[in-house]
Amino acid sequence: MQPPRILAFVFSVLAILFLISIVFPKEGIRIREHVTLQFLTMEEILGADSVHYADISGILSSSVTISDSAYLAMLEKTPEEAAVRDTLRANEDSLKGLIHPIEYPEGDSTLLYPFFRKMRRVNRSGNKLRIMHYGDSQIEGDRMTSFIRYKLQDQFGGSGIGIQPLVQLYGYQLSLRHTASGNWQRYTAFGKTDSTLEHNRYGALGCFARFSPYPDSLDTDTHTYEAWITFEQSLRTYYLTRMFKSCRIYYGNATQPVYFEVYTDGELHDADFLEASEGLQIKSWAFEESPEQLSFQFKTTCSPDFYGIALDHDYGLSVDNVPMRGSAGLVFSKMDGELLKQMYDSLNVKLLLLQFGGNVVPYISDNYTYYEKWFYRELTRLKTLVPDLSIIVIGVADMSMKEKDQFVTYPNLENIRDALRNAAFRSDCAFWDMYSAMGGRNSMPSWVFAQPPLATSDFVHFNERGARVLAEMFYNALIHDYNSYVSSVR
Amino acid sequence: MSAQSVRSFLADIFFYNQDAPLLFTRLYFWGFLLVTLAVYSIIYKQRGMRNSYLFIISLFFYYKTSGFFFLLLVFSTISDYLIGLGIYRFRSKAWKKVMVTLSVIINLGVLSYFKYAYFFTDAFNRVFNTDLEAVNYLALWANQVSGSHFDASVILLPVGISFFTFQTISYAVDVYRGKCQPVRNIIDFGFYVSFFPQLVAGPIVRASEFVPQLYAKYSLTRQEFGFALWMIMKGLFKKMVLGDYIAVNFIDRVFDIPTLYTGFENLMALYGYSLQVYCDFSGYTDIAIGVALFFGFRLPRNFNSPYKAENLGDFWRRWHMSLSSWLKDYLYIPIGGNRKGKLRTNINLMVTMLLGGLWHGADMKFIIWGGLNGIGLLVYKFWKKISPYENRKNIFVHAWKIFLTFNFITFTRIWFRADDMDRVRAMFFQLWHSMDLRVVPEVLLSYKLVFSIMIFGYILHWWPSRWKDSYMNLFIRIPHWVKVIIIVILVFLIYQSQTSDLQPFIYFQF
Repeated sequence: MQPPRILAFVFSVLAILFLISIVFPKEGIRIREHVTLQFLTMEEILGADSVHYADISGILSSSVTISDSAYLAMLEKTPEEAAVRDTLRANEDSLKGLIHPIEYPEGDSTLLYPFFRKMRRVNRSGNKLRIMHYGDSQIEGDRMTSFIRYKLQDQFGGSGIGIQPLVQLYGYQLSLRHTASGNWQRYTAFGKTDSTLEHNRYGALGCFARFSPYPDSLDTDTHTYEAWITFEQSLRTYYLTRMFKSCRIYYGNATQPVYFEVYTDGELHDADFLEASEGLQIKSWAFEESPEQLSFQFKTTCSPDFYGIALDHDYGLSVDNVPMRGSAGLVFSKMDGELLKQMYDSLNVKLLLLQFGGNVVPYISDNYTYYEKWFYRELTRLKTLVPDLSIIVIGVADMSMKEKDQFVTYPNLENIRDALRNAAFRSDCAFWDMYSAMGGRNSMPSWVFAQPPLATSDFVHFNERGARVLAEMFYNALIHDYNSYVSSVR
Repeated sequence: MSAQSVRSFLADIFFYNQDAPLLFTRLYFWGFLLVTLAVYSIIYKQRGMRNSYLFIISLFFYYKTSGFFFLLLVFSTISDYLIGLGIYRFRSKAWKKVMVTLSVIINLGVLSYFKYAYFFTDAFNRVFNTDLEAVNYLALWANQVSGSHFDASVILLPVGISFFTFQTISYAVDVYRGKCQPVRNIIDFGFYVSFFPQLVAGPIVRASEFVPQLYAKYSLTRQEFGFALWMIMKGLFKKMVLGDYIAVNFIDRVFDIPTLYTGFENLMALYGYSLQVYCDFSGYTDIAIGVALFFGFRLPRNFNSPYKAENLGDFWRRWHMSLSSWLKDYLYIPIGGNRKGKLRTNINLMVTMLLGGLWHGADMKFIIWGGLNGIGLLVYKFWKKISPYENRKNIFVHAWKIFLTFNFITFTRIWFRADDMDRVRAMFFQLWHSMDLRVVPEVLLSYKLVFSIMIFGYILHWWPSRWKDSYMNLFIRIPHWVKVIIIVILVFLIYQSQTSDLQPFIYFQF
């Protein structure tokens, strides 16, 4: 075989492919649902018909600084603090042009002032205040929350990871190693709900856990159940997040007393009984020094419903990460309002961040007024339960679907964003448009293909680094408005 | 077409674009190959012109893949060309040694600077508590000389640098050992260093194997041409149909955020990765071997069904063969090999595996990966002496050995693939604590296409080589026009897999 013959061979292959690309229908040949044969078009070969991914170079240049300074903040509290501050301040300056503002109904930028007033007071008086960050899998594993928490606690005081469920879906998170015995059963108000459950008292996390089955009235057997949970500090998280001085367990529906033992760093710290009581109960412990490992052992004939365990400082801000995998945020109306209110009051919750919408995106429809209506219902319910509660709805992030070999934004995504914004504004809540903040249409591919990457190849989830970048952007927007409030009262 | 679009079209063809490097998997490459072949068909008989032409084409190829780093290739070419001549000219053994050492220092220096500057600076800072920073002197220099604005705080890794530096070291050493004559013509030598099919991802070509081909006349039999097509098709299929699909739709996601997935999904991602890394890497070198044959050059075989290996030693003789044999001949044997007693042999083996690990990437996790493989090799060396099964021909024993080797390799790949040590820990956490076997049926059903492709890929891999060879021979024998049709169908299939919908993200929970 001489090269001219090889050339002829290669030429004929490419020529045939070229001919096919001319005659092949541009929209492809549909074989059955979800199966369409595609082929290159002339325009694609000439490069004229390619999707342009959003330019995120501004965001990229800031991401490196954010990562570096965040890493320093994980090491220790004080020595590098000045350096961290400097990098962050410099970074904030460079980000000014990048601040993507929080939006308010009718442009009323004083909407969050009541909350800002409380937050400012915390800074001065050493009170306590709590922000709960609810969201879907986008915030799982403390991904966005940890950075927001670190920045706020650094500025307003406070420490600790906040309230956690007794058992996590998966216990390995950025901020805490969480392990538990295998006999815990988790009940959730979102995702797959247990239809045999006879009540809806899920608590503020939208889920509770117990380690014995619900008693059968015919069952006279008095079996004793035992369970344990352990928390270990994670060195990967911010210094402030690791430190806590108080621990509170929230439980209810306790028909029997529960014997417990609490161990700090392997040493017995306390042993007693959790009181039997039908309503919400809180058991708390205080620590002089933050333990590196905290474990609980429980023993009883019938487990109560455990709503959560809060690891906080004695004062300052707490920011909780409450991921609800698979949820579109339509859960609050399904849960017992009285218990929800009791917990919010006891935890002193004054601001909710609700970050949902991503799970609605794959179900493409022309009209999302239904979602707006349902989400509005959730917001009004929360506002009715706790009238002085402020809420910021964080809109959906960009998500891509594939068009041939390119990634494009879901056609319905902006409609869902608008539905969330409308619902927020109608119920007097603020809105932060994450989709625009990250670059708008076709920005997700830019996040996925960035070096180093900021999102994962499902074109839905941010990775740790990307989540940190977005969290920083949100924090900047929030603190910008807080600063406006402060200068307005001066 | 407007003037603007014509200009951007031409720029796409001739200028380097960081977002669209030249790869075998792009349509552009095949257009490039066609044009290259067209000119080659005219000049291939004149040896000097042929080599110069392929040298220039290869530099252009490297420019399209890696931008101005092609100057590095030119630098490597000039320095090792001169060193090669030097080694040959000097009479005294000592001077020859000095020259070969110089080559090793220059090549490893270039490699260390571009690949390991951060790693070594970081390690140094940690040990001595200093605060040194790696600086991109090349960018500084370019900025000073030409007023450009390269970022001097970031050192980018030039594509293929690990391959061509090893190749030039092999040249200097081969000349020193008298295994090959130095190349007299610098263009010929440049062509050896930069020959485009193997430039980016190997195989690593030894001077002693390739240099004689520089002087040989063009020859390619019909069988060889059929074989070349077969290798290219096989490579494209492995890389684009098998590897890419499972990577994008499953494996990359799990390795990105292991904690979003159950332990079972993490486990499946690991098994998937073993297939994917094989498909990607061997697929790429298969294509290189095929394309090189079009121009009449023979590259060494690089993979031999590695997961059919019965033990770890066997695996490393089948996996990335050109690297394993390079490490053996240019590292393991020079540091003493097995000539200095049992203890030294084991130490030498371990050193080779640790450095081999480091070659794959500038990170502690690659050293761990290499170390685990080294330990595996040592354990096997000991075990085979006492194992009652070592020489049994029983099919179950055979299958068991393959199973064990494959699983060990797959296990060590956690360190190879995970982006950082933290994700390594996260994966272990999930494997240990979140296995959640109740979700298995649901996971299998939801990812049915991903897992079907994985199973299909493994079946293909373990399919008896005899049978595979017979299909290949059949392909080689069929008329050319049938081959054309088969290739067109394959390309069509590849396009379908590349344009298939994204596997949606699915939640599994109880």
